[in-house]
Amino acid sequence: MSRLETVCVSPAELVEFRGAWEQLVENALVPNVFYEPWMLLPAIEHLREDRNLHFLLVHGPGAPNGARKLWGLFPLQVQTRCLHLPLRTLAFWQHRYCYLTAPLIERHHAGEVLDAFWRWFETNPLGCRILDTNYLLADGPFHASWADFLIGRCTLVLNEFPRGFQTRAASYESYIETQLSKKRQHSLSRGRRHLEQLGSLVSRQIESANDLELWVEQFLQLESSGWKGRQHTALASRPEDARYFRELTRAALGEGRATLLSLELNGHPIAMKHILIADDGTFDFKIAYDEDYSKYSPGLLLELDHLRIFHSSAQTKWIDSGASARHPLFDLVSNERRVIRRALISDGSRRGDFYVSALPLVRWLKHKLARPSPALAKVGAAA
Amino acid sequence: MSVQTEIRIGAPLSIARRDVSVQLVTASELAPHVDAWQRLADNALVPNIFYEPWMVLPAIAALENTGQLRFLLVFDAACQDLWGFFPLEIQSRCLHLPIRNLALWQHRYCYLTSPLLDAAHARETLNAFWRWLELNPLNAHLLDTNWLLADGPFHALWTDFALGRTSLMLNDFPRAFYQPDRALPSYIAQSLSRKSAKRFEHRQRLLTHLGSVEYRTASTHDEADVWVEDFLKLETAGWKGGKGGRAFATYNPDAEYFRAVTKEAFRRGRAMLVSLTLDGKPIAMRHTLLAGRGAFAFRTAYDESYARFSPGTLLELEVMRQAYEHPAVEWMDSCAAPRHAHWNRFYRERRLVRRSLFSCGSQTGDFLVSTLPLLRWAGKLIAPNKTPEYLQISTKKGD
Repeated sequence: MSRLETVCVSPAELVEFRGAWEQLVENALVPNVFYEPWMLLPAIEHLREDRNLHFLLVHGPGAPNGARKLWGLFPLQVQTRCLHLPLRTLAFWQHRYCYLTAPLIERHHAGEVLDAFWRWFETNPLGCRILDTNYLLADGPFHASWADFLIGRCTLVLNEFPRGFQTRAASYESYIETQLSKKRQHSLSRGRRHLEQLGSLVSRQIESANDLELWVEQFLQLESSGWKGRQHTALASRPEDARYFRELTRAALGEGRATLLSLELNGHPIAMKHILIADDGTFDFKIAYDEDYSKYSPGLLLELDHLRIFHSSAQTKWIDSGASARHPLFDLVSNERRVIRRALISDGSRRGDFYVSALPLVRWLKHKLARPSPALAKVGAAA
Repeated sequence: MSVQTEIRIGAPLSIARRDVSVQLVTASELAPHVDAWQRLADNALVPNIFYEPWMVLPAIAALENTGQLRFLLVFDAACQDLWGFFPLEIQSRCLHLPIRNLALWQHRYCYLTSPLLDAAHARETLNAFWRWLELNPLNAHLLDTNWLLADGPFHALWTDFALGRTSLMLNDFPRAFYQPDRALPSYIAQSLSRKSAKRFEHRQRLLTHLGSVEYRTASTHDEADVWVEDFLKLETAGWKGGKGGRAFATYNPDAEYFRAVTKEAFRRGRAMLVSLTLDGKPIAMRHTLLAGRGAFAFRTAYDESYARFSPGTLLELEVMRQAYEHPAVEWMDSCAAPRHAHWNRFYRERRLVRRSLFSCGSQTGDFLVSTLPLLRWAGKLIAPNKTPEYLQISTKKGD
């Protein structure tokens, strides 16, 4: 058990481990693009709101020459409040543009790494008795290993939802045939025909760095012209987010890790999609469309283009939509689901167990006193 | 930074606008539906052998407390096709407290409680179930899922309906599951070092010195009948027949249940009855049930006086081989307890099984489910260490 070594480092010290970290990414149990160095380092630079980031590194046993391999990386954030109560929790770090918080774990030593993580957490020097998993993967081999360590621990599942996930069918045509109703297929081809009558409709994929800058600026503009801009949640709504997006996309394209698509009408993009590549799969990162054309479903038309590319590329086996719960577009086009679960887990101390056990009642009281939220009212069986 | 317990939900549940009708029946009223029920089991989203008619009906006949059973049947609007089958038990206690609740029925020999949902109409069926549960006439405010499947297509669907409901996860454990993705020798080589493989070969050789060793599979009805009686005897002779164990034969109705189920399963070609024999006498036996493209390891027994030859493991390797070569079997569920050392070693995949309590959506239900964790915490203060060893936290067992 003690042959593994855990060390908690600050963001500044993390850069030293980049080489080992990249190696770990290649051998990870489940790929998580959001925790890869080229995505995480710019996020640390642009998106961290405070000084509470820590990175737990789990190293394998020492070789005869003393060298240890990096087997696990857990990006962590100390939070001082939980359910509006002053409870210190340690969270798997999830910044605004991170859709998955599965830590990086060497695939042949998952059990040992998780064991080391929990042993460290049980006596962690950060004073946190509760772990907040944020958007952790709750299926596949990762979850099977993870759940084994949760047996007997006080756990509160805050939410758990199936997220759109796409796997390859025999062909693009058969995928569409089984996934979309005849009616939907007709309305989509009608939409495409209408658009073609309005001008020249071109589906483009950015390949060279020359076109990159223009694509990125167009994306920022397109996104902020829509509802995200009005709600101030577009990338361009905060200068640091826009900087993060530019830097990230440049790095990703340079490493061959991004697919940038657009659907253009007379040279102007009416739908755009930013996709990140990780191992044998991809993550949908950002989408935007021109609301003036929404009656022709440009976003969905671009989805179909993406599915066509997906079926023609040999190395991509799956797409994680990264979408929110019950997303109308992605639930429609996805043939499968992956389950995402956010849970609070006690470290096993009496105090941690008490907090996690008392929180449901606190939440109940809060709901009882507050007016029911409209989002929650929609939950439950259809009326 | 505060924890958001509510997440943004894009849309309400999308359910095709098709009407369904539900019917709640008691055990004695099930008979007219048996054919439709079997058809449903054959077309289920995920197979659950324990809820098929030929396994449920003998259980009702043999086991006690069946007066508290209700069966929720979900039909299409015309009451023609059966789309959903939910066996429910009215329980008067929940976590040792006098709280009335409905549970997905789990009797002693039931290792999975996933309801049967028609694969083509699973969403409508589950929706009908929750709508019924929210207004259920049995005055239950809680649903106890017992050992529900927590992965694959069933779980993705189930979580969609569970979104936003007040629930308490009681336990969630990975169970040994066998779904080889490579040739069998290299699959086994992963779990068995060359040294241990040699050791098992050696033990098999030692056995052959004692007499003639054979792997037998029952292939006729007579052989199956003999197999069952042999199994009952072998199981009773072992630790399950002693104090704290529960062999089928220690209690007559259970033995009857086992006979009835095996007979019926064998008649339907759904049972794989394998034994390892020494001079014709079984020293390890394994009862496997087949369902759709999968199999369930139902019961195992071995002769403890031969324990040093590991007859159980030798037989297990044989069963794994037979399952691998069986054209219809793609996977095998071990039905094993959490952290079962033996099964977890040989079956390298996992399927998640989870027990949760759900509020039916009423104020009372939400309150109860929210209060139970605190009561459980207090209970542990008063009576610590009641958790079975295999359910204790793995990093706290000492180094």
